[in-house]
Parts: sequence; structure tokens; C-alpha cells
Amino acid sequence: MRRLLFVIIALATLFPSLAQAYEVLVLQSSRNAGYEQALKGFRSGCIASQRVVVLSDYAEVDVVRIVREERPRLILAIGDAALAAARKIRQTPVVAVMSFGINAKANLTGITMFAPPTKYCKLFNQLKVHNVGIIHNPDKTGWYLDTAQKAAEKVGIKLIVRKVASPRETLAQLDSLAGKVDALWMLPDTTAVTRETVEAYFRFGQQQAVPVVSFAASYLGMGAAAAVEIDTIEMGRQAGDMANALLRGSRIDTIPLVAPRGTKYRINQSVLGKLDINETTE
Amino acid sequence: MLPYMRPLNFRSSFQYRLFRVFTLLTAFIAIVFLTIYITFEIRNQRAHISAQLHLQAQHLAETIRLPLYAENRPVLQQLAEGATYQIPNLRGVVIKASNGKVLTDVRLPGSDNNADVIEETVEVRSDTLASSPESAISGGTEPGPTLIGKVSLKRSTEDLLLMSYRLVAISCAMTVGFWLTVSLICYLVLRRVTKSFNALMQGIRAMQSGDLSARINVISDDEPGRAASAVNDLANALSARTIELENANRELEAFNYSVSHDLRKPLTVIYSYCQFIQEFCSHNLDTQCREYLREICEGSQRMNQLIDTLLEFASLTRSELHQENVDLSEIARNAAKGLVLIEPHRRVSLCITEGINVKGDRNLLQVAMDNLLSNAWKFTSKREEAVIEFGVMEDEGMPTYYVRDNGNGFGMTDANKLFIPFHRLPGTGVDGHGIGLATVERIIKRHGGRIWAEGEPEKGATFYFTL
Repeated sequence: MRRLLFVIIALATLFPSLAQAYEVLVLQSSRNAGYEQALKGFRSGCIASQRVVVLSDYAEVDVVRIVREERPRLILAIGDAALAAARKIRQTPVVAVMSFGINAKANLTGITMFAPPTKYCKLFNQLKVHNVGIIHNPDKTGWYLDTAQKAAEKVGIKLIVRKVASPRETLAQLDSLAGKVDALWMLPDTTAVTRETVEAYFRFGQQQAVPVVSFAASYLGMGAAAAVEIDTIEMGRQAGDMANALLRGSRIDTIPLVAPRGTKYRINQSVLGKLDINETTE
Repeated sequence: MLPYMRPLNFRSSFQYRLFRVFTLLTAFIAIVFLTIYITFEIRNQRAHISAQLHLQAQHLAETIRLPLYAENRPVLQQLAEGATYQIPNLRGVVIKASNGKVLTDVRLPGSDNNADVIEETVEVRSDTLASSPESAISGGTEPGPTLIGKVSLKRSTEDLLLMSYRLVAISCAMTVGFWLTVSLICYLVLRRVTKSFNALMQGIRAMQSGDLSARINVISDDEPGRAASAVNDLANALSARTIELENANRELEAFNYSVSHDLRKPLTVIYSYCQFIQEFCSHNLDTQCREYLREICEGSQRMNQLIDTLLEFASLTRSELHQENVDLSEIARNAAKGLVLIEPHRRVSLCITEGINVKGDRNLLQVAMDNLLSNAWKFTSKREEAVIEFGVMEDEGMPTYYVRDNGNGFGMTDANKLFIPFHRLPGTGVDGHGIGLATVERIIKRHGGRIWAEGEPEKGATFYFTL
């Protein structure tokens, strides 16, 4: 009888621990469709056990405590809010996706939100434009612009760059590009592109009759001529591959920050038609 | 003239009163509806202008969103000034940043007078379609457009005032037109509706004026029509009764005349034989018998005089009137002379106004004046200094003649009994048959006049008459 009681107590204390035992803690910023697709892709690429915490479902989530108590082997941060929460963790490796603020850190790697510049350059070639305007904040997207400059030079495209330190400067810088560019390259720069300034890009494109190439298909409806859209499922799958490597024992400093491998072109035919640009295909 | 004989005043007519009530009521209702309509319309116009200004402010807000976010004052100033040219009656544009800082304030003359200005303020928010890069990629929804600033438009209401004046003028003109039309229709309807009523009133007025043969034209079977029929029936009955009375009166007068005439013959025989006995057989009679015979003679004479009076009274209504200009003053003077001759010893002061001329039957008027003056003469017989006066005065615009004395007088309670034939007031102590004043009344009535008396016991009497 005493033995049976011991077994019952042991099972009662052990079962919750067993239920919480997992390898990957998935921190998801919210239940947005893009995040869900990224998670879906991750699950298809990584079969390790997971616990998903959607931060927007709670008023406050103590990620440090969760990690300390549950000790996952890996954290997948989906979105900027999730990345901000994961930054508090120092020991556990973090793979970040769907975030604009990923930068090099000891325990952090992931996939950037910036499609390879070659993809854009290829599109500009198809659009037959040579002078492409870019507005960006060097502190946030300076590293990307360097690669973009190199890629553009290779295909004979001249990038006319304007730098901004605050969103309000964007409008003046856009005005300074009037008459000097054949197309506008809208970078996913959270300083240069905000809710208040995004309209100015498309108004500029309309007034100057130049195509605006964006990074998200949702801007096509506002007047973008084309977009190089990131395949979020593929991005999740790419993160799953990273996670598998880390779970297999690879060191995180051997896995660099990479660009998304899955991208696709989206075009707005009516805008292109108004700009007298022939139909473009990938 | 009696009150009910007055001609019908238009203002007091039934038709006019109804018309007045209808028109005043219609005017009142029209004014009430006019006021409500104008008030509603002006409020509506003001609301419309406010809504229009709100839309214009929203349009301007859409236009200035980007320069407002960039706080580009020159562009904002240019857009605000452009708005003042494009939007009519605009008096001012104020653009503020989200922190309340005024970036542009364009004011035109007249914008400070808040009484004549409508102001609309619109918030300038980020484009609802615009999304941040995070949302654009993740497919998330934004919490809502962010506030960038505010734009206020001030607009004058001068055009609204002009519009209101025009509205009031047109509405008033239409109301007056409506009122006049309704009043005209009301008048025509009332005229038709009250036609039978007017016919009834015309008929009654004709009957009142003495035309008993007049009948009311019954033109409908409504209430006035039925009343007209009833009045016609009454008039017929009255007419028949009048004829009966006239016949009876004529028979009575004929009876009176024949009785008086037939009595005279045996009376003459009695009187003649009494005279004969007195002259030829009185010596055969004793003193007592002669006294009786004298009483019989005197009685016969008095009876003869009474018969003469009756015949004369009866003839007043039978003889025809011969109208001519008559000098009443002269008649009065002659009558007074006769009275003085009869009793020359009496001290009577006779005051007769000269130049009283009337139109009437000379003989009848002479009888009337004889009676009135002899009446005054008789009733002042006890006065040492009697005063008898004949004159004329104005009463309600008509000449009224009078005979006044300072004789015995009478109480006013007996005033109506003075003119009853053969009726004498008790305690007068004056000889007579009681037919004199009745004769005067009949003569005055035959002339279409009226006679009445005023008196006070022991102070005198005044007889007034009109012709």
C-alpha cells in the first residue's frame, strides 16, 4: 500500500514535467497570417517537439522564467515582438524570422526580411529602368544597401540614394528625387517607410510616372507596380533547417544570418499598363 | 325709429363674421406653417452648409496629409491659401499639428466675427489603407489610423443670409397668394351657403318695414329655407288676422256712425217737443214740472253734443288726408284767441313760437291744436297766473312739437291712460267727455307721428308730438 502511494505521488509530480518537456520554444508575436505560415513552414522542416507561446494572447509573458523552468534547447522567434522577448535570453540559441531587427549576436541567428538584391535588380532590368531611387536609414539598412549597390552595378543600374534619420524627412527626400529616377525601390526600412509616409511613395510614383517596387504584395493595392515578396512558408522551412542543425549539435556561430531563399515576384498589371510598361514575368 | 328697424350693418352680418373668422384662421394657420417652414428650411440650409464645409475640410485634410506630417509650412500655407480661392465664402483656414502647434493660419476679412461664421474642424489621420512594413509582410492589421493633425475651416454665412431673405420673400409671397386664394374661395362658398340665409333676412326686413305683403323667397330646404317657410306661414296668418281686424274695425265704426246718426233723430224729436211744451204749455205746468222739463232739455242737448263728438271722432278715420303746408303757429294763435274770448277775465300767459310750419291736413291739425290748447286752458283754470306754451324742439334729429302748461298735471303712472277714448283721470274737476286727447292721438297717428305726455301733479303737463 505504501509502495502504491509512492507511485501515485511520483506520477502526479512527474507527469506535468513530462508534458512540458520539449526542445523548441516557439515565440510568436501574434496570430497574423504571415506568422502562422512561417510556423507552418517551420513545422514542416523541423519535427522536434515544440511549445508555442503567442505573445499577443497574454498581457505579459515572462520568457526568461519559461526558459529557466522548462529549459528548451532552442527558441524560434517569429516577428519583432517575439525577437524583442527572446533577446533577454543569453544562453539558449535563438532563430529569428519575420523580423526587421535581426542583427548579429552571440546566441542569435535567423533569416532576414530582405530579399536578395539580385532579385530586385533582375526585376529592374525587366522594367528597363536605369536610375533607381532608394530612401533608407543607414543605421538600419546600411548593410543591405552595400550589397544592393554591388548587385546593381553588376547589371548596370545606378542607385540614387537618399538617407533619412526620421520618417518626416522622407517626404522632402522623395521630393528631391523628382525627375532624377526611373523607378523607386522601397526598402523594408522602418524609418523610411511608415504608415504616414508610405502614401508618399505611391503619390511620387504617380506624379513622376515611375514604377515603385516594393517588398510586400499588400502595397500593390496602393499603387506599387511590382513587389518582390518573401515566401513565408519557405522562410519557416528555412528556419526549420537551421533548427535541425542546431539541435543536432552545431554551434550557433557557425550558422550565419541569411537572406530568405524563397521569393516571388508580384506585379500590378494596371499600374504597369498606365506606365506603358510591357507585362513582366519572372 | 325702433332698433330692429335699423338697416343691417355689413360688419355685423352673419356672412361677414363667418368670412372674417375663416380668413383670420386661415391667415393664422398660414403664418404658423410659414414660420415653421422657414425655420426648418433655414436650419436645413445651415446644416447642409455645415455638412458641405465638413466635406471640404475632409478633402483638404486628405490633401494636406503628407505636408502636415512633414510639417512643411510653405506647402501648407500654399494649400490653405489655395483653399480660400477654391471654396466660396471661406474666411479662414487653420492647420495644426497633432501636438496642437499651429502650422498655418490663413484669415480673410470677416473671419473674426463668430456670429456670421461657421467653423468645421476635421482630424487629419494617416491613410487607412497604409500599413507599416511589419504589417505589410506579416499580414497583420493596424490598430487604426494615427492622428497627424487638425484642419479647421471657417466659412461666412452671408450667402445663407441672402438665401434666407429670398426664402422668406418667396414664402411670404406664396403664403399671401395662398391666403388670398383661400379667402376668395371661402367668400364664394360662403356667399352660396348663406344665400338662403340672406334671402330670409331680406324678407324679414321687408316685413319689418311694413310691407306685410312681402314674402321670403325660399331657395333651399336647409335650415334658413325652412325658417323662411315658417316666417312666410306666420306672415300669411298675420295678414289674414289683420284683414279680419280691419273688417271688424270698419264694422264697429259703421255701427258707431249709424247708432249715433239713428239716435239723433229721436233725440231731436224729444228736444223739439220739450221746446214746444216750454213755449206753449208752460203756464199749465207747475214749478216742479217746469224744472223737470228744463232737465230733459239740457240732457237732450248734452246727448246731442256727445253724438256730435262721437260722429266727429268716427269721421277722423274715415275722411281722407289732404296734405298741404300748414302754419301751426297761426293755428295755435287762432285757437288761443278763441279761448281768450270765451274767458277774457282769466290771466293766462300764452307763449306761441312763431314760424312753425308743417305738412299735413289743415283741418285735422286745427282740431288737434284746438284740443291740446283747450285741454291746457281747462287744466290751468285754477291757476291765478296760468302759462301755456307752444313750441318746437329737436329730438333725435326730428322736430318735436309740444304744448306745455302749468296746470294740474298728472302722475306719470297715468301717462298711458290719457289717450284712451272716454277715459278721464279721476279727481280732475274739469268738464269734458274724455275724447279730446284720444282725438289728438288719432290725428297725429294718421299723420304718421307719435304723441306722448310728461307731467307731474300740480306742476303742469307737457304734450309732445311729431308729424
